[in-house]
Amino acid sequence: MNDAPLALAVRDLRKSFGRPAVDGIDLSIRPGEFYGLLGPNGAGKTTTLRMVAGLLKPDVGRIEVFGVDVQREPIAAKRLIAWLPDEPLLYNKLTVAEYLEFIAGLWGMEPARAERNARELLKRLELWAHRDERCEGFSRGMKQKAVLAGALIHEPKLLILDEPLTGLDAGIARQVKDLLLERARSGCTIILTTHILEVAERLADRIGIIASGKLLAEGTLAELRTTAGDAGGTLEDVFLRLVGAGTGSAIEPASPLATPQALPP
Amino acid sequence: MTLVPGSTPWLLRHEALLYWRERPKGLGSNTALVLFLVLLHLVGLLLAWTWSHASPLPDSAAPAALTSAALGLLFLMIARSLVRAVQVLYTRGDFDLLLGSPLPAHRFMAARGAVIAIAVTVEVGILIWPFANAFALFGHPAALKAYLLVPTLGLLATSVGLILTLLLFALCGPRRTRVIGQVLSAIIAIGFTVSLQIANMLNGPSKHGAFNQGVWGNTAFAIDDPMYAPARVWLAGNAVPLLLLLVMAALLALTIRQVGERFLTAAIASSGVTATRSRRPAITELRFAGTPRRVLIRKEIRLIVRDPWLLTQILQQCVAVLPLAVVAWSHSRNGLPLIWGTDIYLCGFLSSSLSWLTLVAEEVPELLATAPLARDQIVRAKLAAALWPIAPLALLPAVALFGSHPWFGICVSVCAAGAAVSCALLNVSEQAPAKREDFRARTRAKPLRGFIELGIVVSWSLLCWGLVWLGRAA
Repeated sequence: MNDAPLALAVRDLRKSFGRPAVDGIDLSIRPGEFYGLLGPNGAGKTTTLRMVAGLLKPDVGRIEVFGVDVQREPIAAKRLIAWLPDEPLLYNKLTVAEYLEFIAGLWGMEPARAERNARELLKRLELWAHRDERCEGFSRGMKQKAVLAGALIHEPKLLILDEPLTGLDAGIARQVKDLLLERARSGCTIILTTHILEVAERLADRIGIIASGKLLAEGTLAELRTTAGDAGGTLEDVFLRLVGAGTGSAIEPASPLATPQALPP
Repeated sequence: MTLVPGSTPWLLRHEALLYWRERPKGLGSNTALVLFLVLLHLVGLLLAWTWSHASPLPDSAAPAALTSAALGLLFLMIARSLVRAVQVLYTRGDFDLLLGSPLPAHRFMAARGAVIAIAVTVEVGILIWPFANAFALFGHPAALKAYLLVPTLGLLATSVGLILTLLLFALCGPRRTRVIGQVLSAIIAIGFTVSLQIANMLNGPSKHGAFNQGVWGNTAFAIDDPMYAPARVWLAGNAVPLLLLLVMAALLALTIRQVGERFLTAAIASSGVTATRSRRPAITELRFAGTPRRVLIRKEIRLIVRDPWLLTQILQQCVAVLPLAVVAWSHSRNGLPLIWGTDIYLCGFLSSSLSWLTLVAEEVPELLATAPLARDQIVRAKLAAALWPIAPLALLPAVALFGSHPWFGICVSVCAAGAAVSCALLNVSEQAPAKREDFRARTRAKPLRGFIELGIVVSWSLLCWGLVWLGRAA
C-alpha cells in the first residue's frame, strides 16, 4: 500500500455566504495528477479553490496539501502552492523580470535557482525579449503568461488555476496548455477550473463536476460517461446531463440535429 | 418632470447623476453634508457677528477685498475645472459608448461641460454661500450676491479649464496630459494662494489686521487702479452681476461649441493610453537577490516612484506646507529658526500618504495572501518602505542645526520621526484594501482619519515645543 500523502485531501468542506456556497465537498487528488474541476457559474469552484489556497477560511472541513494542514500550518502549505486566478495578479508598473524577482523573493528562493527558472520560463513563454518592459503595456495574453511564469518560478508542488485560458488567443492558449501538460508530466499536481470543456477533456486525468456547492460526480471521462449513463457522449453531453440531474433543471445535451454540420444548407 | 430621452437636459441629468454618485463616501454622505453646512453656517454667524461689532473698514477695502477674493476663487475654480476636464478625458472611458449611439456628439459635450461648471460651482459655493447667508442675516444683504458671483466664476473657470486641457493635450500628447494637468492645477491653486498669503505675511503683523495692509488696503495699490474695476462694477447694483452671469454662460456655450469636437477627438485618442511610456526592451541579465523583506520594500518604492500621478499628489502635499513655512519663517522667536518646525508636519503627512499607499492600496493583495509569509512580516516591510524615504527629512534638522541650535535640531528630528511613525501606524489597522486612484479622496472619504492625523502632528509639534522650552529652562 502506498503511504505517500495525497497532493490534496479535502474533507467535508463547507462555506456559506448567507447561503451555502460550498456544501460538504470531499476531494482526493493524487500527486502528479491533472484534475479538472467543472461546474456552472456559481457552483462553488472558485470558493473551493480559494479555501485551498488559503485565501478564505472554511466554516467547516479540513484541507491538507501533501499532508500539511492548510489551516494549522498556512505558511508551510503556501510554500507548496501556486494560485493563479482568472484576473492576472500583476503589478503594472513592474517589468516582468522585476515581477519574477519579487515572487521568487516572497517564496524565499535561492537567487541562482530563481534566475535559472526565470530565464527558462521567460524563454519558454516567449517573454524573454520583453523582460525589461513594464507589464502595463502588455496584452491580456502576455499578462497571463507573465503571471503563469510567476506561479511556476518557485516550483510549486500544487498548481491551482482558475479559468487560466479566459480571453487568450489560440496561439497563447496553446502555449499555456503545453506548458501545463509538461509540468504535470514532470510531477506537478494541477487543479484547473474551466468553462471550456474541450480543454478539460484534453488535459485532465480526472474530472470533478460540482453544482450548488456539491460534488456531483468524479472520475475519468469514461467513468463519468458511465455515471451519466451516456456511453458515447462527449464531456459536454455528460456535463449537461449530470448538472441538469444534480440541480433539478432540465438541461439536455444538444441533439445531433442542432449541430452546425446537421443544419440544412 | 419627464425629460425627452436623448435631449440635452436628459443627458445633463445623466451626467449630474454620475457626478453625484462619484462623490467620495464619508464626507459626501447626505447627513455629513448637512452637518458640514450647519457647521459652516455657525462659523459664518460667529464671523458676521464679530464683523458687525468691529470698527468699519475704509471704503477702499471692499473692492480690494472683493477683487482679491474673486481672483483667488477664480484660480481655484480653474484648477478644479482643469482636473475635472482631465478626468473626463481619462477616467470615465465611456466615449465609445456615447459616440456609438445615434445622438449628435455636441450634445454630450454640452451636457458634460455644463456638469463640470455645476460641479466646480457647487464645490466652491458650498464653502462660500453659508458665509453669505450669515452676513446677510447681520445686515449685509449685498453678501447674497455670492449666489451670482460664484456661478459666474464657475462658468468662466470651466471655459478656461476646457481650453487649457486641450492646449495641454496638443502640447504634451495624451500620455502626459493627465500628469501635467494635475501639476498645473496644483500650481494654479496653491501657487496663487501662497503668493497672496506671502504678500500679506511679509507686511508683518498689524494691530489693524490684514485688511488695512498690503494688497487689501490703499497703502500698496490705489483704489482707482483698473484692476479693481470688476469689483466696483459688481458692487454697483444687481443688474450688472446678473448680466455678467449670462455673458459667462454664453461664453461657456461658445467655448463648448468651438472646442467640443476637438475635445471628443482628444478623449478618444486618450482611451487605452497609459500615463507613462513603457520602457524599451533592455539587454540586462537577470540578477535576483532578495529576501522577502528586501523585495517587498523594493517593490513598494518602485511602484510609487514609477507613478507620476501619485508623485504629483504627494508633491502637492509638500507644497501645501508652504503657507505654514512662511508663517514660521516670518515669526521666528528668540533666534530660533522656527521654519524647521514644519518638518514635523511634512514628515507626518508624507508618512501617512506613503504608508497608505504601501499598506492599504496594495495592488495585488491576493498574491501576498497566498505567499508563504506571516502578515506581520509583510506589514513590517511595508512600513519600512513608507518610512525609509522620510528618514533623511526627519534627520535633516538635527544635522543642519547641529552647529547653531543643536538641542532644537534634535527635538525637531525626534518629533518629526515620531510623527512619521505614528501616522504610518494609523494605516496598519486599516483592513479594507483601497485603490491607488482613490489616493486623493482618502481623507475626504474618512474625514475622521484626517482629523486624527492632524491631531497626531499637532501633538508632536506641541511636544517639540515643550522639549525646546525645557531645554532652554534647563
